[in-house]
Amino acid sequence: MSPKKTSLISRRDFLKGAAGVAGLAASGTILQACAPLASPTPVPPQAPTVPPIPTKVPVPTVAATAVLTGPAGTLRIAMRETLLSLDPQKEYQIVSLGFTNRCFADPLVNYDDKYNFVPGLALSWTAIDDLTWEFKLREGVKFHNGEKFNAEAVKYSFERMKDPNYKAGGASLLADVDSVKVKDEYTVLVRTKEPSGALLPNLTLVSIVPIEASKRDDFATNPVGTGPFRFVEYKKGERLVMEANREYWGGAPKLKQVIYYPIAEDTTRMAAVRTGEVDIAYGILPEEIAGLKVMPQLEVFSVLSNDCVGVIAYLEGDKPRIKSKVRKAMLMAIDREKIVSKILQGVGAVARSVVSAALPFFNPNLTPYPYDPKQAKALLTEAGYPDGFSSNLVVPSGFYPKDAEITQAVAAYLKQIGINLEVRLVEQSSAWPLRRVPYEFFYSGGAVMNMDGDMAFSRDYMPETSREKYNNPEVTRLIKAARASSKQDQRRELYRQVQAAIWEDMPRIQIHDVGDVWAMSKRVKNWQPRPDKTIVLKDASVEG
Amino acid sequence: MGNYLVRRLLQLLVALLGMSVIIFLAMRVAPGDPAERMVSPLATQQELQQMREALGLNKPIYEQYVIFLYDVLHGSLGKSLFYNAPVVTLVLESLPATFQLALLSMMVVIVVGVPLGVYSATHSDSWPDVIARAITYIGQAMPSFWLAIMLILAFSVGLGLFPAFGRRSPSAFVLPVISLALPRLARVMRFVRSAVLEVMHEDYVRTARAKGLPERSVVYRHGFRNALIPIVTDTGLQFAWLLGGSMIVEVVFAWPGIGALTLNAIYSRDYPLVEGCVIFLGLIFLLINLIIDLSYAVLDPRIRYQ
Repeated sequence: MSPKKTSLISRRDFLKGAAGVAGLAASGTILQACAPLASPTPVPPQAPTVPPIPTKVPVPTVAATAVLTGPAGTLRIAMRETLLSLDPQKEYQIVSLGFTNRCFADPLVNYDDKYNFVPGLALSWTAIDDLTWEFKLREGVKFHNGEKFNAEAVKYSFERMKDPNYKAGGASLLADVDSVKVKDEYTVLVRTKEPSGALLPNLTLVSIVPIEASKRDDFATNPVGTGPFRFVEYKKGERLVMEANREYWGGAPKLKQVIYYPIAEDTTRMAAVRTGEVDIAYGILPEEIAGLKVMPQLEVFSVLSNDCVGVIAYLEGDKPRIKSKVRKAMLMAIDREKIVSKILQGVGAVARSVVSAALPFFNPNLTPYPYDPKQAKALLTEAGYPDGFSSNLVVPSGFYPKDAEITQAVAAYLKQIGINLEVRLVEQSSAWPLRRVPYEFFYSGGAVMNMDGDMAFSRDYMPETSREKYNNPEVTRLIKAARASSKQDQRRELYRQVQAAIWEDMPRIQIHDVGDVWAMSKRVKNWQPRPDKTIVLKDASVEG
Repeated sequence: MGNYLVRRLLQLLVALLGMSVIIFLAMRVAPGDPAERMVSPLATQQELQQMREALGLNKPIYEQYVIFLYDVLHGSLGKSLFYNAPVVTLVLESLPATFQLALLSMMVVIVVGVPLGVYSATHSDSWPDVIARAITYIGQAMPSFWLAIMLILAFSVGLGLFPAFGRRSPSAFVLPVISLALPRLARVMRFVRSAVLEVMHEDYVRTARAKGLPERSVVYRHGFRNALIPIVTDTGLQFAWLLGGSMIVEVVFAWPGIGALTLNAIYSRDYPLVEGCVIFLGLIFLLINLIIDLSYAVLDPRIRYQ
């Protein structure tokens, strides 16, 4: 009995002790947990320097006040994407190309609102001969760390992004570039392998980086550029904080601070803009629009993006899908108006060409294929399949809006003319490699990130590179002609002809132009969403 | 005890090695190609191949495993394909956020769940017990992500009481902690109830009552303490689950923890990062198991480890 008794006491003592230790440990953790939360919004490293107010104050106008006080206010943005690397040359994803790169850095050539070229870090550019472009650079521009922007920095930036060891996601944007020569401090000569009309549009996505800073190991977490905002703080998966670059070559931005929040969950992002925790949210679901529109403090934008999605047929093999008549029958059997109005609730638009109507080279004059099941059935019979056929459709799950609902609707429409289409929703990482091997049908489109026809057509509609094995000599000729031309108007006209030719073949059963829905707090002024999703904040401001 | 500990730690190493093989193979067998996610849609097949080579994905699978094992043994766990940073740094950066959530949730679970379970057991079939049981069934049946979204819609959007996402203030902890704690609280409460119910019929409990001890003392010192082993086991495992299983809740609340990190890594097929996260979570799970086993000897002096 006695040993048991002693052990009982020690056990009790232990339990008390353990409870105490546990309590201490827990409270310690909570203290730690709360410590960094004491200051919810990070204080910028230096207090805003207010320029001295002149003794004789003129009648203050709004503009004058802005000039006197400098950048003010914080703008908070939420998107779906997690930031990977902050290095402006590394990533090829929407949030990098369209937003963070453009905050930290600048390209040589930029687009205005109408997608005409305007000077970025280059003041002017001229084609000296078929293969050589001369860029005159802006003088007196400095990177955030004080490094000088000049021709050497441009040459270095191009070579860095092209270097296979560096593994830039967008390295192919510079695939045409053969060499870069420094002519003088502020002039570079870019030589292409063959005449390249795609060079300028591609350059709008290529950021220029500083030579010294970009060699440092921490460049991916501590980026330096020439852009309107400079890097302040990055907490992975949580937030990215940027502040106004008062010495920006294009004039100081109006916002003092910009914070980016990656919020992967659609409902949470919508909730965050409703509660006012963020000012701009991208990727609002169609069914949320009505609920957001009634909120007086919010504005909801539904804009066409640069992407157009459809059912892509693999064009080799002895299958019904290789016949143009079959694909046209399929298109006419699908009520696309209803898909856009009912399933997408009006977000986006019925496809009127093989590319989105938001693109500057879109051809608005193509003859539409109406919804007409009877004629569709007749076409199918004419093609030799009066009883229809069976096939399947691979869908990268969750990539395109309402993909499951839309493809189910497509299958139901096709059933009415005798086509049995099995819909296979495949997780995205597993789905994309399937696009590179023979398939039956694949539900996809292609975002034209640089808004240029070369990106839209030169890959999937040229026989050497087409993943769906499209081959039309006339289309190939037109694409090559557009590629060789450096006159943008001429190129856009050629791309309109390309669309007309492809529209006759109908290799893709185009369903709809993808719409983007943004919600914005009305305290944000002077900002609008764009089809390419670039978020340009230099002139944006916030109230209150 | 010393011998036992050494033996257990060796077993732990073997388990980790086994786990590394399984997760390594599972990632390679799963369809999908990380290189595809890294190149632009403009890239040609040749450029894709170049990217695969740069990432080391073209090497034979056993060679890739040897490289991976080398990285594990050197403590770096390799380099993330997407974040371009050492895996071990990424994992360590994300652990505090997850630990904060898990510890707070566990405290809620224990502080609320254990007394409720004991009460339910000692007052079994009373109406509070019936209500509590009904609630626990519902609590266990509710998926965390659904609960999380409902909480956001009700308390952030509807009432405006708590932030909808992030961890910018102490109040931002409330909704994620509830989403994580509620399903587990239900489970722990049920477990405590049945464990205590079982011992309350034992002879020693009757003896304690016969001695005239106050009921409180009978329940907690004689009943509950003897029911502790299964309770500690289950609660400990619940804690391990909270650390590894908070993925969905972390994603919903945009919480920068290891769960969200792992899930993103899986989606993007970031092989080294998935492997690193799984090995870390596995290690934590095994350590918690070991601590639970060691605690038996303390909770029940009849148990000795040789």
